Amino acid sequence: MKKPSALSILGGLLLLLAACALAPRLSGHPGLRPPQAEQPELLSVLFGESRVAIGERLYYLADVYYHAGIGYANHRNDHHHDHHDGHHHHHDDDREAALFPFAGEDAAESAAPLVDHCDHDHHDGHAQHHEDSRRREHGGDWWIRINRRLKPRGHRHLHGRREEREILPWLWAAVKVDPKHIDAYLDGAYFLAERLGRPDEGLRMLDEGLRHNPGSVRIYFARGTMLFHRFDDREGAFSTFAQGREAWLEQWEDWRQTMACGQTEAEQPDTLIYYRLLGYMGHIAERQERPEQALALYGEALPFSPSPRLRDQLLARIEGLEAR
Amino acid sequence: MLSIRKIWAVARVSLLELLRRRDVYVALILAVVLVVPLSTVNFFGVEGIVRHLREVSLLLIWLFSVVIAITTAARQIPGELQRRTILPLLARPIRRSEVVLGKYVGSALAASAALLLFYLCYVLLTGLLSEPQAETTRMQATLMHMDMTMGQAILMHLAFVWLLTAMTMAGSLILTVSANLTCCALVAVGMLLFGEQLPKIADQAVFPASWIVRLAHYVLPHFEFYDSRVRLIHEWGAYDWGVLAIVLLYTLLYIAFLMIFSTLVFNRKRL
Repeated sequence: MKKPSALSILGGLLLLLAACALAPRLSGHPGLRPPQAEQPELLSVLFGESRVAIGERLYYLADVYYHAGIGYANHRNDHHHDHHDGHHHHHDDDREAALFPFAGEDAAESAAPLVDHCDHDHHDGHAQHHEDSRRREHGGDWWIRINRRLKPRGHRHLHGRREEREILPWLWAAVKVDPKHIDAYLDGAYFLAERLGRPDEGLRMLDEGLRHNPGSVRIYFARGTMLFHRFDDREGAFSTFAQGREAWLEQWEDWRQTMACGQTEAEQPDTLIYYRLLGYMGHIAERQERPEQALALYGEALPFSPSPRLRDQLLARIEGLEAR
Repeated sequence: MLSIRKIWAVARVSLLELLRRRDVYVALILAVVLVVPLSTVNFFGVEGIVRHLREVSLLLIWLFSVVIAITTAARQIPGELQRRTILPLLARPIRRSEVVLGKYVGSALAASAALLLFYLCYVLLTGLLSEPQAETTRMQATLMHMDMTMGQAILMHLAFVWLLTAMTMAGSLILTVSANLTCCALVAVGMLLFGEQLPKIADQAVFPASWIVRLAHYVLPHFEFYDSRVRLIHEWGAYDWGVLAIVLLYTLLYIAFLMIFSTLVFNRKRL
């Protein structure tokens, strides 16, 4: 074999040197990076597109753990949705009490019904489930009856900090696998802040959620309420709610444009969360002696009142402010 | 009349054979490699979270117990036939039924020994990782895991292993080794996952699938009976002894049927 000449060795070394010098510059070049805000999580890269299904499964496992290992698969389409809505949005009649921070005498007190109502709804859903189970309890062959007696049955929740912390690994895994899973961030933050007494960690989780989902109004809202109720940070809460409002308005504008193009199946942004964002913002402005700003915010919220009663309540509040 | 001494002599050889194999140790090392790093993961700075470790550990124990039981039992008689060592064995004053039973007892004991070793590691691991209560030490917390529920769960898992071994042994006399391994693994995993739902699946299926599923429900061994993981992980408490006795009786009857079937097939087999 012919030996390489000194010139080719020198040329090769020069090329290697050039490549080494160029590499650090190129690695930071924006044109070479994929169009995303953050470095993706390792697990998310590993699972590719299947991460959504796996993330959903892990999130479901958190729910199964919350019910002491018993999944409510049959209620997946109706009840499960309500359950998680219950934690964060509240619904129907009970919703009204928690819509605005001034629903109670004190703003901090208004957080209390959030948990109570959510558990109330949650139990209602399960009560129906167990009624169905009781109906099915009788009958079936020997194998079915043995299984029924062997498998744990009944409605049990994790109780107390020692037990409730057990759902965290699944929520952690759900957001690592699918960083777009907003419900997992919201539930994780809720459990950390409200049930486990770790609001700092809860806030950190919401911040991580916002890093991966910059336009999520729900996360902005959860972050704002956490800052307001748990940290008593009104400035921080107001600024977070304001960011949420901006994000919502952008989505609203996009939706209007889509509708104008004739795509009537486009999903309308949640007007209730907008109403609540404005409610909190107006309430903070009122507390901070900025009545004009509060009036403007309440006025903006008025067309989105979810019920006539709340509309009347808000009108009375506006009139009170105007009379000052 | 069957001789216990002869059956034990055959069983002892099978048991020693498993101890010489390294499957159990490999499985144990694999479990440690998977579970120990998982126990070091920090979930939002909250300590003392153990149920996910119990979940993963028990899943691995179940997986390894299925693999060990099936691979041990599936090779017993076909191995003897392949190596032609069955002929000198049968030349001794021993019945074919005693050979079959001896092989079964040996495999079942070997798989049971491996299972008990896994559970010992499980109890130590979860006990050491769980947060002790204010008034208990870590050692007491470890011992607290050895309660009635744990004892019953181990008993149920042992019954599962005995039944699976019997099914594999019967399969090894009518199928090739690879076909038997595949079929037994499919039945075991399939029944563990879907056994409880078979009647519901049959109701929703159309003929003839509905009939096949219903037949599977009545004929195949209900391995899902023995799965106590939810009970253990989420601390649902012990089984009712009455239902436990029924399940153990079911297991014994099924094993007896499979052993009679295996003996009849082996008696008619041309060597």
